[in-house]
Amino acid sequence: MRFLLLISPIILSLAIIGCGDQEHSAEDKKAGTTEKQDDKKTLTSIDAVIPLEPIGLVSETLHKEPKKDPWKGEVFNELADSQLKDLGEIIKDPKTISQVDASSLIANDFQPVQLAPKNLKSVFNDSSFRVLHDASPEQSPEENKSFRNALSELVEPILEATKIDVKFKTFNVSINESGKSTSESYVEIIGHTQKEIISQKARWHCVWEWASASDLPKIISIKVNEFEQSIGLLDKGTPLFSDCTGSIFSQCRDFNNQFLRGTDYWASRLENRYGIGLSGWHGITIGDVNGDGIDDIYVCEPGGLPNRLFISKSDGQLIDASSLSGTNFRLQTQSALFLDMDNDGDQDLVIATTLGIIFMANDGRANFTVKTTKLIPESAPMCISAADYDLDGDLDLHVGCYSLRRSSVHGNGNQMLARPIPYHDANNGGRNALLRNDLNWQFKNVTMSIGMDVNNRRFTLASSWEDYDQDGDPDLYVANDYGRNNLYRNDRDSSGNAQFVDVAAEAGVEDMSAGMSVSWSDADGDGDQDLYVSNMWSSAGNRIAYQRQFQKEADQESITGFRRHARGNSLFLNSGNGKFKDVSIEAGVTMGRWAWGSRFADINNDGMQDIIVGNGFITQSGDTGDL
Amino acid sequence: MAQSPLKKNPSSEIGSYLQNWDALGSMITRGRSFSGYEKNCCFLNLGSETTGSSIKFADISAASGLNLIDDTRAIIATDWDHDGDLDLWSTNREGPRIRFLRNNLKEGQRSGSVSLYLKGTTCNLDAIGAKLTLKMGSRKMTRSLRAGGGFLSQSSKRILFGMQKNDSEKGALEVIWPGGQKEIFEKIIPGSVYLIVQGSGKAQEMTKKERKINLPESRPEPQSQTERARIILTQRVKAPLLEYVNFNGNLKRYDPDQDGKSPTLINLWASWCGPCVAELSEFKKYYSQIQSKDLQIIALTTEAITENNSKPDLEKAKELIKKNDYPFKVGVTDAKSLRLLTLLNNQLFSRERPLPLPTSFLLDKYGQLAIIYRGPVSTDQLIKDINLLSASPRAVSEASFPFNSNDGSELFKIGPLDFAKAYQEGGYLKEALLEAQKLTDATIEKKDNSSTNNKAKAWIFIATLEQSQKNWKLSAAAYQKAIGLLPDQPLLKIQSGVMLWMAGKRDIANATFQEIAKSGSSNPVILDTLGKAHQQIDREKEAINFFNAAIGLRPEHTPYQINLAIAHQRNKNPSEAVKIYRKIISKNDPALNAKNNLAWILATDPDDKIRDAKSALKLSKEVNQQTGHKNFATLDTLAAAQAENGQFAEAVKTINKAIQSARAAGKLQIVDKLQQKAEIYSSKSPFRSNRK
Repeated sequence: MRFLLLISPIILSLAIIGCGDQEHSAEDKKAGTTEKQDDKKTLTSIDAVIPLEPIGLVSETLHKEPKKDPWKGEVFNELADSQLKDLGEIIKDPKTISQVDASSLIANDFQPVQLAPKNLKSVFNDSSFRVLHDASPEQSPEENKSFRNALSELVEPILEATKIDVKFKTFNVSINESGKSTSESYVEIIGHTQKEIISQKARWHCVWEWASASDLPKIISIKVNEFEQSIGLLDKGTPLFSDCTGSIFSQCRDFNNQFLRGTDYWASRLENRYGIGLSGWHGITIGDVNGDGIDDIYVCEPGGLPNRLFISKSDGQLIDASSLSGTNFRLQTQSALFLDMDNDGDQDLVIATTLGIIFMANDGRANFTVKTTKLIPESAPMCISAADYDLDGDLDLHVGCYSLRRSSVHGNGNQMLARPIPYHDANNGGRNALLRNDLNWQFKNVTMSIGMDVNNRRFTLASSWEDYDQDGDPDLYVANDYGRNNLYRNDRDSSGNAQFVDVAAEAGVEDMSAGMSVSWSDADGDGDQDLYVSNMWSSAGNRIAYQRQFQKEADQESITGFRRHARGNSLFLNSGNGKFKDVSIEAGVTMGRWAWGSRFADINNDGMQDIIVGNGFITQSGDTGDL
Repeated sequence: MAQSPLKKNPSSEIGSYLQNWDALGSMITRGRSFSGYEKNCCFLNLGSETTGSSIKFADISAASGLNLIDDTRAIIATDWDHDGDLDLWSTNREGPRIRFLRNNLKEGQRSGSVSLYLKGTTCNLDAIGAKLTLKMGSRKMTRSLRAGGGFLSQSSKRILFGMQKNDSEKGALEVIWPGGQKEIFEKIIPGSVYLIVQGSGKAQEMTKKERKINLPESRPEPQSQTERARIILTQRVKAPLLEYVNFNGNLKRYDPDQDGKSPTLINLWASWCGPCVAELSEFKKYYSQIQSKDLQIIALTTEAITENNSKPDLEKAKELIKKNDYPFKVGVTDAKSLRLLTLLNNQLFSRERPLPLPTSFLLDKYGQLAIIYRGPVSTDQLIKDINLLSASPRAVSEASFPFNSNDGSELFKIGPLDFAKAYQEGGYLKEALLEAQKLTDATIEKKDNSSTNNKAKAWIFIATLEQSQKNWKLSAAAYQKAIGLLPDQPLLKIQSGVMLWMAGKRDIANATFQEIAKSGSSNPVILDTLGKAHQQIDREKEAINFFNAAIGLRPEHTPYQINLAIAHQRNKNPSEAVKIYRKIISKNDPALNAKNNLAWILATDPDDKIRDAKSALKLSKEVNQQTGHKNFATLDTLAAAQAENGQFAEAVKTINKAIQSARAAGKLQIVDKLQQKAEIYSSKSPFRSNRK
């Protein structure tokens, strides 16, 4: 073969034009264009707040909170909720229940009830946990008690508890004009004793007497569905997991100042043009960077704060190697991976920042050198996952992108609230990319040519590779916010070239919801890989989406889509024939609340994969009410 | 959600829907929780036996100690302390923003655990994608080795099969390596650690390292929130024009364009605020120092702004001013000026905090906000910070960021055309074109070279993009635009000539070439480029003339000679090409290109008199020794030479190596061509090149 000497006009142009390449256009600053109001008015010394005049109110028409009419269900919910909170206060003091006056909570014709099922069945028992369960407790009229006595029975296991938490979450309400309304709530009672942590969970179907919006509703009857009691056995006062954060970082000087401070602290002090937002989407990766057989970690940080490489010592504690290793970038960083990208036997580092991907080579002793960077045009990288999709012996990267880049130059800016359209099935987010490893730190964006540019503009938060169909090549599942997920099946042709087809719908794993994370594992022990996807479980979303006023003009398909959005996490069992079965509800794993990271992990070494779910969107102190 | 438009292309409803998103965003920005105070969950897998359903989990969030309120994001499970159970890492939105949770499983429940390190040999070295099944007695457990999953996280590559002490039988491990190759590793003993190397067939037991783990329970407390802050901006923002009334009742103003000649501190205070009064006294005490730094202070009380528009009481403020007779400017701010200052502050941060008292804004001599002080600032600090106003960007940056760090943004090429190029690479040609057009549409404000060049570059980019799609006319037009901006670039004109020729405008193209040849007759680069241009439009004879002219000016420049040889080869004159290559080789070492090209002709030319099997093989072997048998192009030549020598088995082996290397380099079209050759060699035939 000849070395072809083609004329490349790009090279020509570089030769003649040379410099002048580095002009960056300045970011738009909209000083003073948005008028905002501040509602805090308390005044005390230095931390006092300057009282501000109302400046351009966020008008009521802009933010229609469903509490006002015509959302009568929400009015009822708020009142019932305050009653249940009162009940919670009663339960928190179990010793006084026999004397409590519950007349403000229950109706005169309250029906006797049994709140603690008699026939609890032990479904799990080892040296760490005991679980008792009754799927549909039967109530025999002769066993039913007065409200007080039923409550006393319910709290009996936690009578000696030193700390008690009670929580009600109402997820469905129905208003009946005859004055009898119903609610469906999760009830959780947690008591800590010297030797145990006892948690009781149940679903209560309550019938309320509620005459008008100005009255407090009163409980007429309660039906207990699905009662579960789980007990954690403490060892010297400690449950299975203990927090060793303080000791593991005790030798890292900057740890307290950087990491003990929450996102709100930093986001009110670091300029937002560095990319720091409030959502806290920053990951962590683990790998052995110095070849001592012990894992080390790399922690991703918001713009303005350095990412950190912590190296583990033999005693399990960490030393901070961020500066020494050359990895302490302060670019807004979402996620990272330790991988051997150049097949030289050590763990290199791939970092997903808002600007693009940074590839760093490891010299085997945790000294990292930047080899190349890669822009993902139009979108800002969020998550990365690696596999050798073309089976040529090197690792390729999938880069999931959430929202569009703000401008072509600066990828920074608060990504927290994207603008999905339509909400339940949006495809106007960032475009994901597959970067093929061409060795020598060359990567090529091949998304389009391998068939992955299909359904590719969703709001991706997570992706993970797995050969779910067991044909020898890796397939990819992508979890997207605001809509459908993707399952890209790898269909290699006879000469070994990979082509992907999105088969999420036919495989039954579209999971139309707010996908936040992807975890693969053999959950049912049948040898193939099952799928857990974390989503949102929203009590408000559940309540609203089932009321008549909700989206009156919408077709049934859209309504189903909206409702599905609030259902929660999903567990799909692999049927082995290319299809999955949605067992989320029967398995009891939907309730992850506003879930983010999830992991399968066999935490008690019984051979079965348990699930851990991280929860909570935005918790702010001094808060005046959850949105 | 209740107001989401239902269609994909909504019209009227979309406005209010998006406004709602923004309203929601600004409420969070100002401190509202949104699905906050939620606890992490843990579900215990109960299996199917006891519960009767296909799979059932119990909620042990509280019982396991994992029900923390952290706004948790990423979660990792790993046996951090190598004690045979899975510990957890999490990153969180709330402080502590990272947590390590250690698993306290009892000795008997974890001493049988088996840990594995995997190593690929023919698959990727990390063996990402490997599937493992461990059979221990009646138990069968599977794991996959993955890189990236959950949310923004990666778990350990050290695989743990957690097992109790009593699972004490020997087991067998089945590994399916990426690609589907299956391998069995026997004699897996509980409680051991193994290195599993692809293709080795034997699990290598590793000695467990003695580790004295020192990780006592220690839950950190989040640091207490304080409003105090000293924020040094790395990009200054112009201050607004501020109006205030002094204590004589006169309207005064701070105009950033007028008063900006010296740095200014705008200080907000109230007479009832102790720290404010103390701060004002300090300013007074050290005023000579402040003055020596040419800093003017404007201290404004906020006491004229009241809740519910009630009548302000300024008596105490007046008293304070009268008593102290401050040597700097003092006054009363109205709601408008305060609002402007608040907005100036708020636009900079994702999380808006109400401004505390006192708050000060240090403005530089250009009227730009440089530093914000929330809470009092000492005079010492203030004096030091005035020096920062004229410091280098690097010094400002070092003072500004709270920890030692590297920016990182300089690593990215984000010049004007880089996004267009990134699109082009992915095959998004429409987007690439739009991105480049943005640049060509931009008006050139400064008539400097760099902006003209950038615009011209964008046109050249568009020209090449159109050329790659064979839109010759559009390409030629784009080159014309570039030439309009850069009239003195002969090489651009040549390329535009090629496009005109392809577009059928041969007269204009010819005229262009002749004009350039005339004016550039003493420039070998121009002559060589003209040669290549004629090669592109299949005018080999003209190409040969231009290359010869270039060589005439620079006789010893090998690339011109190689170009000439290729032109002869294409002009059905391989013997002339061979002559030139031999001349190059005799004078240069190692002359890899010439050797490879020569070997190719000697191995594949249809003319028996030209082919020379032995020389071809010798030359090609030399070349491949130099390139390490890794370059698909030189391997292709070697395979052809081997086939020509009747070594077909070797030829097939070599061509397969070439295919591998081309595929690794992503040259899929070349892979196809090489595969055709592999078939020819397999059928024991040599390869013959076609002459055009």
